[in-house]
Amino acid sequence: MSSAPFAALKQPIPVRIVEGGAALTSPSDEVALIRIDRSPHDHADGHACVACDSRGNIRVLLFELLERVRRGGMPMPREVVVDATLAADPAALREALVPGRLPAQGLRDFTVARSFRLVS
Amino acid sequence: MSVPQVSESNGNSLSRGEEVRKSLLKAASERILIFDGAYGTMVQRLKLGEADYRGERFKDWHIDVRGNNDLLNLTLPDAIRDIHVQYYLAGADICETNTFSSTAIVMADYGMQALAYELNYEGARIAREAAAIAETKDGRRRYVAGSLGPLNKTASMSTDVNSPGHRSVTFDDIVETYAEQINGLIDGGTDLLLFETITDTLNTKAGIFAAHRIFEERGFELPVMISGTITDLSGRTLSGQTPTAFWYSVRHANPFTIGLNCALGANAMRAHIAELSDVADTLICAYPNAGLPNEFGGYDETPEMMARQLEGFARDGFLNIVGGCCGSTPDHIHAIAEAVTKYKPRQVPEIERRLRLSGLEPFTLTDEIPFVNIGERTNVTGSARFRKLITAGDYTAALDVARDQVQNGAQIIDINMDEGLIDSAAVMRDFLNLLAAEPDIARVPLMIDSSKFEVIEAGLKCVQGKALVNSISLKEGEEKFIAAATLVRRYGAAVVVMAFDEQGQADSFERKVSICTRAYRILVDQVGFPPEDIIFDPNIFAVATGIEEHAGYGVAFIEATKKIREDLPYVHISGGVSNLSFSFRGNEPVREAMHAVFLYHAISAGMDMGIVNAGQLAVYESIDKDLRETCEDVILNRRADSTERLLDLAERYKGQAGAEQKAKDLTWRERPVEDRISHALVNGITEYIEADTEEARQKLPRPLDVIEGPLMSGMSVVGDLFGSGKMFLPQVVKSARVMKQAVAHLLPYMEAEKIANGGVGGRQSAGKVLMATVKGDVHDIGKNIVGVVLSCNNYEIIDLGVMVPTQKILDTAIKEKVDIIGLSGLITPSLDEMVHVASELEREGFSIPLLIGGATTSRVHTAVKIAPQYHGGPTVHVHDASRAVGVVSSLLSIEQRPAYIADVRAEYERLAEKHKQSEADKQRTSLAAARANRYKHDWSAYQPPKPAFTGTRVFESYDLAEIARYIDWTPFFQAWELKGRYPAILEDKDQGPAARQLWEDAQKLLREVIQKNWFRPKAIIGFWHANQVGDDIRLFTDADRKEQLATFFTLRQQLAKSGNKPHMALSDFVAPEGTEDYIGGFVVTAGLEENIIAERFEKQNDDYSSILVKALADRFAEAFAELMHERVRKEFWGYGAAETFAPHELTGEPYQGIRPAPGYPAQPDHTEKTTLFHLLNAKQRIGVSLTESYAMWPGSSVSGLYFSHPESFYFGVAKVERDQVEDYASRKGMAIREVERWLGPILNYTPKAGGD
Repeated sequence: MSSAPFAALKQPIPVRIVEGGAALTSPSDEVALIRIDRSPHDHADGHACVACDSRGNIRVLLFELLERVRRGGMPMPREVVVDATLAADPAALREALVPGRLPAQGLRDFTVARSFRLVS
Repeated sequence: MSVPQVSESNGNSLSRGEEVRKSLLKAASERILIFDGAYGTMVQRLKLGEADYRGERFKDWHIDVRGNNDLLNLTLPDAIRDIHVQYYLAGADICETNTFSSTAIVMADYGMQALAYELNYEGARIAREAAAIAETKDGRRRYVAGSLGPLNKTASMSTDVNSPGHRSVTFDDIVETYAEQINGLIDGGTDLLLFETITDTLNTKAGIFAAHRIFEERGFELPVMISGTITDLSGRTLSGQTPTAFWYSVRHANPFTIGLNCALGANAMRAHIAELSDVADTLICAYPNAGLPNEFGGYDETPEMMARQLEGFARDGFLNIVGGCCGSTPDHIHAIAEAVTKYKPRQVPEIERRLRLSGLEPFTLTDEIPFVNIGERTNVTGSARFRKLITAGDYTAALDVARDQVQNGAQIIDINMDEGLIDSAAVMRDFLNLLAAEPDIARVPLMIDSSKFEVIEAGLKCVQGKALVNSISLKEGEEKFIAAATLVRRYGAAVVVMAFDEQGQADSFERKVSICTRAYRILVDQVGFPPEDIIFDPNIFAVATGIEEHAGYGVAFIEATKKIREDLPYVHISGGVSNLSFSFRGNEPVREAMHAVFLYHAISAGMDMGIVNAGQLAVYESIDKDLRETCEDVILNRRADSTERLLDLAERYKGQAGAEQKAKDLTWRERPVEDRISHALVNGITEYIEADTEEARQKLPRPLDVIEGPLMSGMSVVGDLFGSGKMFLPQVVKSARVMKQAVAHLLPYMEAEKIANGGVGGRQSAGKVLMATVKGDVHDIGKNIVGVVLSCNNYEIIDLGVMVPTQKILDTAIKEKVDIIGLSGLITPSLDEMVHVASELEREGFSIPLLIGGATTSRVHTAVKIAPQYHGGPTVHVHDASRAVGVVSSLLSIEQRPAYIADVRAEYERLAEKHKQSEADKQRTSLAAARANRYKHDWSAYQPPKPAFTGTRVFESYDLAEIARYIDWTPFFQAWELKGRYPAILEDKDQGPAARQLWEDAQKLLREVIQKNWFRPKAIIGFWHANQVGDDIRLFTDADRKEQLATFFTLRQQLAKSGNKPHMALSDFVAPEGTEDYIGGFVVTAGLEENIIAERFEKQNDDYSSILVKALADRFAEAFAELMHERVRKEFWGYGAAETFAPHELTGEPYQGIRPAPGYPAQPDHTEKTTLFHLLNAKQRIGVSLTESYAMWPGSSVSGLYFSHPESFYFGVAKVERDQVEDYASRKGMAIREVERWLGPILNYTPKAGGD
């Protein structure tokens, strides 16, 4: 993997979004697990705050996973499973991972779109 | 609506903005200024409904407006003003206006784009009123900063990943929208402008552009604050820049402050603020969130928590202005103001004048860079291939050309689209827009190249980084030149100026110099262009054309370069090198040779940038000699017939493939042997050192000359680099390895010579140092590193290894006539050993210095316990390897020694006195009181988990690869004195390259360890029936719990506690009799093999690998302990069966239960290990035993107890009093004196003296 941040993967990693169920037992090195347990954050003025919403934003979490792999903190997973059991809006998560559906914000979203592929 | 009567000048000669700036700068020089907090949170508290937001004026509006807080400026201005007043009175000097979203672009969401100006006007007016109210209350001046939010659209990136070249908003759109906002704010009376929460640098550049245009129109300038946002782990802005690159992109605005806000809490923001603090020569402003949003969107940090963190910032000198963002309230601001008031504001650093550009990453033209390669292949006028791709619209392949240039080492790329048949401005824009989505290209700065200024402008509007403009000139006269330069400056770019005036291009030396000088004066004196951002291109013309006038073109350039660099400070010189060899198009070998020769001379004359084909640069020394000389004749115009000779020679090279690019890495092999040796030393290269040393030995008169010549000069370079923080320990150790191998090669020759000379004439070292790890202690990594560092500085090291008895230290010191003794120790019992050594040195009448080091040692302990034992000589505590050289050289230098020793002695006396004083002042808690305040749990409701077995289980061997997954790397880097957490350390500004190299070496060795099974890890675990009995844990032989098996004794915290915190002891985590509870224990080891392998490396004179393998063995032992603990939780004890943490998450201890080790803070008594080892029979079963100081052998071992209680946590016993020591001694059946010995560092009193 390239040593520069934002470098996209040559082969996108498949991502599955699941809610509850057996897929969530101990992951191996090959399957990375991401849990969504926060809603995207609003500023009180109703506008979603792009700056603040990282913990509830699936793209940010996938991007940070790539960063950790790049820095050697974890091995490259073969697959990513997203546990959306506690997410406020699982459908929005899927939208976020289909390239072109929701607006991209910044280079980060480009890297994520190129490096991950929603399979279910 | 009337424009308020805000006077543009205050009657003195200062304009409005100047007065504000002057007043604020004065305040900022005296103290840290306070910014306000969040408005959203405060508005939420008002619990407003749709009707409140609408007010009377918008009651029939066609879109719901609840949540549009900016609108409240019009419908509920009193509420907004009141919030401002609350912040001002809580301590804020500056409040921002409630106009974060008040632009036409963002207000369009509510159909309110037409209200933009008014919202800003009113927002500033309301804040002004609030400021006046606050000023009336306490007389302190308050300021208003007009908030300009980031917009919800980005100019630098597309919002559609399927269409990266698309933009939903343009630079010009943004300029207009910000201009409207700025006008409203200025008219409403704002003091400053604040671009905040910046997510796209290009948006901000457009804002800056708008601001400067307005300032010019109005005839005054307001101070501008700029604040970016880092939103995720990458540490980059949303548009992909590092904080430094971001700063370089915006500093042309001469901002009043630069900083960060939002997204992160204070601690998470710290590293990024620290980065900005180092590079920015203006004030730093930070206003983080009150923590991260929780699952309900609220923020959890209290005013105290936030203030504490920001106090740290202030203390470390990062702050000039501080406040809070989302989640903060007036209480937060008040707490922050109180916390920082006692600290001095940050000193604005003087930043060197250097050319500083940026793409996604910063680029600075420092002295270390002799020449900047600007890639030339993305130029339609210079490359037929690129032109074809562009005219065909094949942008993907065109981008590949750019990518190749960067990969081949181009530090900047020159982009030119000047082609008659295409719309150059549109193509430039499209190409740059696509480039922005390619991080591997976008990371470097760009050079926008065109002969038409409108194309340059189109390009500058697409680039978020700080770019270079190529070029402008005096070709069309001064006025046009000044207009172009002003515009370039307003876009924040640096500029290339051609030596071209109204008379034409400069071809002679005189014209080149005079035009450049004229341009310089205009730019610097009239336009205010910083000279370090000016690059002159004195024109490179083709030579060897056959025309006589052209023969001098090369020389003219080279000499003009020299003169310009001499006369005009800070500027740079560039040129398009390919022009030179135009006559030889098609003959690549000759062209490359000409370029290499030209650059060789031009760079010595001062050329520091060039537009070259970064993939095809031949090396001067490796050009064929004839060709090189002939080229030189041409370029330096040395002979009248040089052109003919080159043409003749050129025939020979026609048709040949382009000169091979010799691997840059090996050019140093061409240099003379002394240089090669130095190079190998500095870069840690061992491949050739033996051959080179032999060559040098044959060349120089004596073998010693090789050491005292090239080897020592190389090592002193290493020493200097290390001392100045440019090189780090791992590199130093690698250099030492080269040194050692070279010396080993010379040794037999030196011995032979010594014998021949009758035994005299050995190597002169700077001093002899004896190093040893004291008796009972097995740890030596730190000692080994210090030994290596000292040997790099020409000290001779005698290393006695580990577990060295005191007598051996003394005997060796006498026999070898050493100059200094250094003692190392990791475990607390070693402290006593060191005291013993010191008293023995005194008894035997020594007078040489004694050095004390190691994790367990401290300055205070050295001053209080060790130094007083030894009067004959000085005792000095050495904190780490980096300090060792300084201490040793001061102690051995005849001039420095007396003053240094006197200083240390005085310091230690002061420490000892302070220690004694604080002893007397202590507030002591009795043991009974501490016990009464034990940690209470409702045991009746507790059902302890039952382990799967009781007794012990052995793991004879374990898969190394599996263990390796659990390695926590942060302590590894710390062992090499690289300060930082993993993985962030790999990206650290200064330590990054050293850390990455170390990491690579470690990974390589790790793979070898795993593949070849170099370690044989073993583990043993056990579980027993157990209950709490007072402060102890009693183990039983079986489930009846009648017969006692063993007891673990624990110590209770005894220092005074604040609030309701209990006095903890480990026994509190086990249930008392009546409940069936259990306890576990373990010993794991990486095995004995590490020592054998380390020794093998040492025999090969490879200290680096020897230290590395030991450090890895340590990490393995810890990782194995982590892994076994996980299995215990999930399988053998089973209470954590549902755990799903990844190995790297375990370092944060998110699981239930703890595994404290005896000797560590929760139970500082090492002697408790005896019980554990006995229960597990560790020596027999897995070969791990205890030394007389209770250190574990082999050294890479970990032991501990397992507790399963869900509320168990790690704590430190800290200090204990005499009453507990007496009680403990009687429980354990030990003499009080002995207990005092083993608990030495944690005694809260001075034990009665009584000889050892």
